[in-house]
Amino acid sequence: MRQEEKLSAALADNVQWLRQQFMPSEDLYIKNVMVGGIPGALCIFEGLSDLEKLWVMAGQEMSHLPPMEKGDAVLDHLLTQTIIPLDKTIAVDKTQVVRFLTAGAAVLMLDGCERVLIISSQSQQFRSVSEPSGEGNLRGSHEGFVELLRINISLIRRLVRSAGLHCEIQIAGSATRTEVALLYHGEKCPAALVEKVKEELHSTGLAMLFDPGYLAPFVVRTPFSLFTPAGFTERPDTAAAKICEGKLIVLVNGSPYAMILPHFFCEHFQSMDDYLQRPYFSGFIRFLKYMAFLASVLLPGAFVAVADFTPELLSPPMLYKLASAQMATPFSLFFELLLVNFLLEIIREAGLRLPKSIGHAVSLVAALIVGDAAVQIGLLGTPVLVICALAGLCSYVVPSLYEPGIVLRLAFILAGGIAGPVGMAMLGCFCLLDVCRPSPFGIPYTAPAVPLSGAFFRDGILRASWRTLAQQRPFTIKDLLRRRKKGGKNHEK
Amino acid sequence: MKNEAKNPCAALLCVCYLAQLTVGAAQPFALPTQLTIPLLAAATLLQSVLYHSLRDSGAFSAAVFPAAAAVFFCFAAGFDVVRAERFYRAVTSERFSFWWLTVSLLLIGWYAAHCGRDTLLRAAQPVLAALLLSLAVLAVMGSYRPERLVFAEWEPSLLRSAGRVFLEYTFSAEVLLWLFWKTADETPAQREAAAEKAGGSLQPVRNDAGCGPQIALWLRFGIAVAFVLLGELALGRRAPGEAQLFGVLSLISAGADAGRGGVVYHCIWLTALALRVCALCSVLHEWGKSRFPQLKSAARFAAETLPVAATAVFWAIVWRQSCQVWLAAAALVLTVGCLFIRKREAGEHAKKAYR
Repeated sequence: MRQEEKLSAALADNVQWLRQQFMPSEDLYIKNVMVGGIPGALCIFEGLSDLEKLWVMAGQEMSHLPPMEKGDAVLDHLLTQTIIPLDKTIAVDKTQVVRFLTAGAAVLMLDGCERVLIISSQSQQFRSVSEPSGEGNLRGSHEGFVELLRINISLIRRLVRSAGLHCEIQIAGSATRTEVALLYHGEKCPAALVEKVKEELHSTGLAMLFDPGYLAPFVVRTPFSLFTPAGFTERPDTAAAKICEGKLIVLVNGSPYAMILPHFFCEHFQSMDDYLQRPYFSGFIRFLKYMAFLASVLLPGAFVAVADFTPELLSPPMLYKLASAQMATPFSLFFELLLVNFLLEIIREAGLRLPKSIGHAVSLVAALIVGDAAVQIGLLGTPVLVICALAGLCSYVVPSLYEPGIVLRLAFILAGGIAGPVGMAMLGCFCLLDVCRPSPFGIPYTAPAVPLSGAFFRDGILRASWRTLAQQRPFTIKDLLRRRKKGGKNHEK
Repeated sequence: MKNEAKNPCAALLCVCYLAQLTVGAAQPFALPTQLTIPLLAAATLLQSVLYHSLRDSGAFSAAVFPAAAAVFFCFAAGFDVVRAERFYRAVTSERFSFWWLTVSLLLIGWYAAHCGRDTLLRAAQPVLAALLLSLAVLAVMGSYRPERLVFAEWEPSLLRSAGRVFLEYTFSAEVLLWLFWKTADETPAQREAAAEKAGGSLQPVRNDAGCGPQIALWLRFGIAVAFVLLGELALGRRAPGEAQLFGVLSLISAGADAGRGGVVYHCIWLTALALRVCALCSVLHEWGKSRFPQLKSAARFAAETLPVAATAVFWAIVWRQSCQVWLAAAALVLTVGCLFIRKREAGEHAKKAYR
């Protein structure tokens, strides 16, 4: 471990070092003060720390301090005899000083003292806690994470009030020195998982870190894989539920998203509403989601494979309609499908990045041109548009699988268009292998469906009632590991 | 034959072998298929002997079983490729259908070899489930229609029909592979080491069914048998031949609901086929790695592509059906020879012990 550089006992040296460190930062505010007859300096960053708050909390106390002989005595007196809100840590090295200053704390340096006092005077502007934009629900909490790490931790702590919730703060990013919080249940989350994530966190070598998404490729090393066993949520209640299942939550300062480790495939089809509605309806909705995902990926590919290679499968009326539509267009069915899918993605991207008012206009223009004019002039066939619209609609049912879904859809169109049903089957096999790849966390990404366990029917494709779940819990990480150990013992016998 | 008696699977295969010989005597024209079955039985005997004799030395887990399994598994995979290619050619009229299919299968096989056995076994489970489900749907939708009866060669006695299917055509090499793959070729310590090596702080959940290895083994056996049995029953028991192909094509052209269901089944069957080829590539890849452990970084790519290339060559051989017969015969002679030598050595050891 690197030896941190200690602070000097001379105040002038420390102040000079600080000025040099942040020169020419105009927002660094250093005020010379006398505390207990000892010269000192109060340092803050404007905007991160509130001067008024600092004065109210600490100014009065410090100005009325009786004269003392040494800086250390003043520091000890402030630490133990006053009610100034101080941080639990006393900084002794320069790295800590920089870390606390940039976090919004005030730093009090005293002459003749090698330690500095950290005063909690943070006053940072942040977005208020509001409903998450991408994970809305009908019932239950409407709170979403915000960009400030401490607020996010408090949102989870408020929901999991047992002593088992552990929160560890790490620093990552050599340039940004971003705070990363690891939240887990001490009894339910395997220690090995926490250690592994911590190890990976320290060895990332990242210069900057603004979102848990930066960390995902380091923690989950699955190169060239379409699916990743790391999930993301912007809901504190979802994060709290995952902690109770024995998973690890990674929060990064500045991001309203939490990373869930490990994350399973079937969890993409779950939402908080599932647990608040009646089980039969939740099961129905989950089944719909699975079907919608399959349709969004397979429907255009299957359509082109059937229409081009085995048209006998289509009923005569449908075949005639399809044939007449194709006769009126200059492109082949295969090319049309590819074109429309690319156009849909372009429209989506255009609407996503623009201001909302212009985004709506883009959607309107695109719908008019692609949906109506293209058919009118005979550039595209109506069946192709209907199929693509259906697939596009289905892809929004499971938003967390949108990225792999769209890539797979295009791949299936290519496979179905080039090689027909055989190509579809081959690509299906490839996807199956990809989704079943070993997870870096040991537990398969496809659990509990493959390998099949009872939990899949309790809280996978269906959702059992809470009366059942209260006795036979939805699968937890510990349960999966216990099963493995039991199996191992049997094997050894 | 004490060792063989200890192994219930070997005993089972012996029974099947005898039954096969009895049935085979009445059907001498089906020579390639008939040769595969005794070959498998002999291989099982050989693997049993080798397993018990080499278990302590560790050589078995490293090379012998994967190699033997790979050789015999090639036959099933070869047949599958031929069948799939015919289907592909029939629906696409593609001139280079064989090469298209071979290249795509090789790519998938190479990827499967990279992913490893656990991935393959996990991937096989939903495919089997989908296959059985589609079969059930087929049965509900119209498996009793006249056109299906022709190709399924349905017989009044279900048991008799199933027995014939089981003995004559479906007891192929993948059953053997499924049966012994995960349980016989690794010691618990090796499994743990492999799990550690696979990466990750948590140990993988290795036991698929969540039960003991013996139950898991028999469960896998049951699944494999049900898989092949129902598959052949639904689409005709002349699976290795062209009847199935024509059956599927006629189902497609029938245009009925049953026909569409049949196509869904056939797509899933094609996926299962690809998985079998993947299994072949994976086993060959592991065998190559164990045989040439000194090959590191630079030569690794070559070591991994070598099995795949070997598979391609093998398919080319399988393409000529006569070569398969000679290969099978040679392997059978080799197996019997090994058995004979082993038995003789065991006798000499017994004599020494007696003296």
